[in-house]
Amino acid sequence: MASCTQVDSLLQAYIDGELSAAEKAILEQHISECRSCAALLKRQRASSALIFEMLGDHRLSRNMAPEIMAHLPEMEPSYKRAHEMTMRTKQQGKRVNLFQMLMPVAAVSVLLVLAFLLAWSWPSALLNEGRAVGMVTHQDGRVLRSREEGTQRSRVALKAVVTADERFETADKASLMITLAGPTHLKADGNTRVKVVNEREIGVETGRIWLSVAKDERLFRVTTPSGDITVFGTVFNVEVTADRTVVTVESGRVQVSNDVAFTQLEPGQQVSVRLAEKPLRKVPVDVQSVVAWASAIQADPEALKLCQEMIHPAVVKVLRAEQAFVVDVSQHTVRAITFEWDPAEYPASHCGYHIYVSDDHMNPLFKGHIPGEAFEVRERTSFELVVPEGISIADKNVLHISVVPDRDSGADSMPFTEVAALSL
Amino acid sequence: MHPIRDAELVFRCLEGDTDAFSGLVQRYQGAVYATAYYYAGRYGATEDITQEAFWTAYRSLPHLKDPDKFGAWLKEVTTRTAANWLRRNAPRLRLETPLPHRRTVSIEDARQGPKGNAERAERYERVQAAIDALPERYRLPVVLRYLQEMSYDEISRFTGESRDEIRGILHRAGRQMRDSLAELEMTEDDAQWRRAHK
Repeated sequence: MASCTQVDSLLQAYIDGELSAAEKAILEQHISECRSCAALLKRQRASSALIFEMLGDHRLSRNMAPEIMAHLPEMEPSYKRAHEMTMRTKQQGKRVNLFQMLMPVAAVSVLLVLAFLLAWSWPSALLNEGRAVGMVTHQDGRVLRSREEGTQRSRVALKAVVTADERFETADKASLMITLAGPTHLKADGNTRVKVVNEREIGVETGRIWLSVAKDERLFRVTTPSGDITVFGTVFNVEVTADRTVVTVESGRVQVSNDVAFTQLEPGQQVSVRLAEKPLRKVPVDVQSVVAWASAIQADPEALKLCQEMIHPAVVKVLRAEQAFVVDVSQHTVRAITFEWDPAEYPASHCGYHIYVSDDHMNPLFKGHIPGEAFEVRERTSFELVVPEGISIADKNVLHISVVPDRDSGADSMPFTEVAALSL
Repeated sequence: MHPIRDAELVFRCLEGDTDAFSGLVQRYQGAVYATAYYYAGRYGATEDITQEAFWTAYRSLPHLKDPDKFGAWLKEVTTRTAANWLRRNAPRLRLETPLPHRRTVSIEDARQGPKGNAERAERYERVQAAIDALPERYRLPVVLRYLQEMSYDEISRFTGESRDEIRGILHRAGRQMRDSLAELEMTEDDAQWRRAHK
């Protein structure tokens, strides 16, 4: 017969149903004859049952596979390639370290595109619905208007109110000037077809237009078959033919893009855009000769006055998205965070920015403020936000830094180009 | 027990078959969940860590040297994931009183009323204390066994220890917990016994 010690060592496996048939037989034989071992079994069974019951409340009782599979990340490249990549990264890291005395921990990704996208995709339907957006302030020769392509067209007269989504077509040697709320002035040469989507968007199908765009918080957009033009406020000339669009800038800055590339034009520069063409090449031009045709078109003073009285910009307040930066700090102790911007003239009434710093899990760490005056000093292009006393940032992988304009204090332009953390 | 070997599922994943990974998740989710519970259950982070561990495992699957030891490798990945989670959250957790246990109230709790709940909470605390009193090496196998009712073979595949070692560990742990829980004067209630072994 098995000893009590031997039997004791089998109890748990017996309760768990993990004994072999032979072991089970031995144990059961012993228990039937030994009251103390039988009592032990009873107690051990009871304690096992209690542990099962208590932990059972926390048991995983559903299948987590669907949610895990729904967000599966990319698999890393194979070991060898991963190893090579690691080596490359390490060598790169060394080179950077030699150059950088202060070793600002590199800012990883800049999501400033957000602000741009929001302004870009502002629903134009909100501005439309046959609303008055402008007025014809000059008209010479045969000019037709229509609501939709192919529908009835009618002659356009001076002082006609222009509503959203209207198309205009000038005959040979005709000319047209439309003043849009803002005021933005649009001059169209003969043989031109344009669509006024709203006071901040124009579509040019063919022909030649000149635009003086009123500065506004919203972007102004010109679409053409070969590419698009985006501006805040500026004066420029657009010529559209079947396969290309030529943009010439008189003042301000203009962004021109086609389906594959984009470029920014400054005064005196011209770009010719075709679909699928890249890069976009800018060339210097004599602007005055390009826009000479437009100077011949002048607004009728009376129409202009009437327009200013009647046509008001749509009351649309654009709240641009905040800028968000993610900085990889790899557990370094962070002393300060620097914000850089391009040297440029910012208005004296530039707004300040609230800075919100959070950790990997978006748990707030601290909040700071960059005063609007920081942008007024021309020579100044950065601001150092020191981590406040009592806050320790030492064991974080990344910092999430949100930049939110303090709009009450002035105009916001979201100027930040780079954000970096300075370690000790 | 499992008709397809882990290694074969691993190879299929490496060839881009994500369904194979789903198979591995289903096979090991209980073990990973129990491990996450063991490390961070008191902070309510079990599910987060479980997900993160599987994502990390998938991402770094090409680094697995011996596909036959996927289970033991996954345990390492899970342990590391839990440790990272705890380190990342250490500042927050220091300010937070760990909850004794987090779970949704069951119909049974409601039936038992507040008094019954308090008694149950106390018994849970006793069980947790008994587990915490075990040598560290015993604790994870115990949690795998009692939380997810894993068999000795399944535990062995996940912890990388042999079946005999697991049996020895659970035997010694069972004896120690039997003694430390004895004062609770449990009665061997048949209904309870059946529930535990459903």
